[in-house]
Amino acid sequence: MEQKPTSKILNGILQNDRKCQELLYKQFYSYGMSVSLRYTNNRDEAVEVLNDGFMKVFSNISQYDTDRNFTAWFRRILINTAINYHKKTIKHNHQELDEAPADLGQRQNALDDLSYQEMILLVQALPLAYRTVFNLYVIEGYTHEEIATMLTISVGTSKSNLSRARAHLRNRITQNQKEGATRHER
Amino acid sequence: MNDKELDDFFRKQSENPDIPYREEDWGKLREKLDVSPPPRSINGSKQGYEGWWIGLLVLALITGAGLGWTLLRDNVQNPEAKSEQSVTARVLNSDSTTSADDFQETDKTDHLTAEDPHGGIISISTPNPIAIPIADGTELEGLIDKRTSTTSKSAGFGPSSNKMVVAKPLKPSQIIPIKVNPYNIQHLSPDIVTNVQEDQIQGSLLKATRKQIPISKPALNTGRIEGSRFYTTLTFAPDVSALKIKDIRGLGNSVGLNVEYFFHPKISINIGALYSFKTYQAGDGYSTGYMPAPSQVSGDCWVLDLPLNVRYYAFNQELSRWYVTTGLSSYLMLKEKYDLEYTSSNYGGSAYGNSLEVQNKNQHYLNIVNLGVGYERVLTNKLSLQVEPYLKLPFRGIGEGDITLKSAGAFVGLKYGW
Repeated sequence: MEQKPTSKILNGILQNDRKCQELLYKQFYSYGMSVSLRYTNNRDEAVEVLNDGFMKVFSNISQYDTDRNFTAWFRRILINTAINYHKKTIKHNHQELDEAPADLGQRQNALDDLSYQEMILLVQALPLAYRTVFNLYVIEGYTHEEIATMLTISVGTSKSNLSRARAHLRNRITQNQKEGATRHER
Repeated sequence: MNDKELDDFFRKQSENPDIPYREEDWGKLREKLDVSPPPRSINGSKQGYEGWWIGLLVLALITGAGLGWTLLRDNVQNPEAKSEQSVTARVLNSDSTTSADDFQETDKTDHLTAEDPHGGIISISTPNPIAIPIADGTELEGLIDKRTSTTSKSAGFGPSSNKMVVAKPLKPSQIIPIKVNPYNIQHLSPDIVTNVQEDQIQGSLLKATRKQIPISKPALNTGRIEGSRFYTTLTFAPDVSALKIKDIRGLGNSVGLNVEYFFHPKISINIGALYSFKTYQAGDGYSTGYMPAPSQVSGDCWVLDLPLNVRYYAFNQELSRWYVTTGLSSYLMLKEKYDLEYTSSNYGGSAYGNSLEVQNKNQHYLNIVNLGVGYERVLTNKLSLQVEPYLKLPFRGIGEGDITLKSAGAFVGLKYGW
């Protein structure tokens, strides 16, 4: 069911009411974190992006059309905030494919056994440029042309980054599976 | 595992996760809000709205301080000023029907009427005589009543407030060129005295009469500021910017300084520096180069506007004057922030957006045409208030989006003469 802030909360935010701001924050915290975690390197960055996104929501609440989906509007703000947060890095996509989270190797099985937390860790382990394209294309549903425009990159780069992101994720999942099996045999 | 399986897995995992709320995360945002609360907006324009009131407040404070200082200074100097304004008329002709005592000035304005069928001239002196001469017919056109001699004390711009003492029409040979600074009231003061050589009036038959007209107090001691052609104006302007009138988004503002130099009594050259905030939105007209154009743009720009203008003072009255201004401005784009919206072709028909921010990237030298019509009103002998509605029209695209952003507003300025 679609979450929507009440008109009382919206009016309170228009008046810069701190309590209403807190209520909105609590209501959409989980949703907002689920978006920002996928676009950032770690939890601290995710909180920073989330809070910056909420700041934009508070200051632009008058622009929100109450007839439309609040989460879609909020999601767009968060994605833009996250993209801007890493804009320069995204354009220079020569990041190394490393920095896998330490605890990913603890699992024995592949996709079926991966929790949300581990999925996030896998995504966060992707190089920033790959991760952003992967999120925008797979999770958000944008086309390569649209992603190219959003990130100011070429369509070819977008496609290439997606392909590499998938390959990287596949390798990490397989690697984790193998490491888990080895430990299990011991 | 193929691409679809992988994508489906991540897509499914991303749906409705339950991430526990942490109070400390709200605490961080609360601290941020306490330090810098989100700005309120007028139709989406935040900084412009706040800047408007801050600018007005600053202008009001500066205006008040300037007026207070000027009035205080005038009060302190007034006694001396009064004594200096005491004017004595001396008729240098033994046949005259008046005497010096008859022209002793009090707190009222003297109107001296002198007639001399032979073209004789009255000579008036003051305790601080300033050699101001009788006018040259062309330079002082309108400054001299050729039948009457008049003194007055009101502040004003020019001819009507001049304190000239003249007798009946002079023959060309009798006219002595004068050097009066006609650029402003400040150069034409009550202390001004005519000073004519005696041999010019020998033998003249002079009749002088006198009447007194009350004047408003305090009398302004303006006679000491001679020869200045420089003026500084502290200016503030509310500003609206748009590509089309229907796209006006909110209120921007400009604050800055203008320096004015008169190279002709009615014409001045103006240079300035204005820190401007411009906010706008546009449905089209924003270019992203080879990228698809967005369907909607909202932009906030912080601009250093460097105008170079010429001003013509067309209508001069005693306490006010009207002028027109034209010239070119350079825009140095200090910071540009854009929210770009695109229509999505395959994502459920929903729009998506992108933000763009650039700093110190775009400079446009003398690319903007300035047009303005202004009104100036004297406040004191050194201060005047200006109001000038203006238009700024770029003849080339400006900013990251290469847009023809027009601006309009009204400068409100406090002008100070050096």
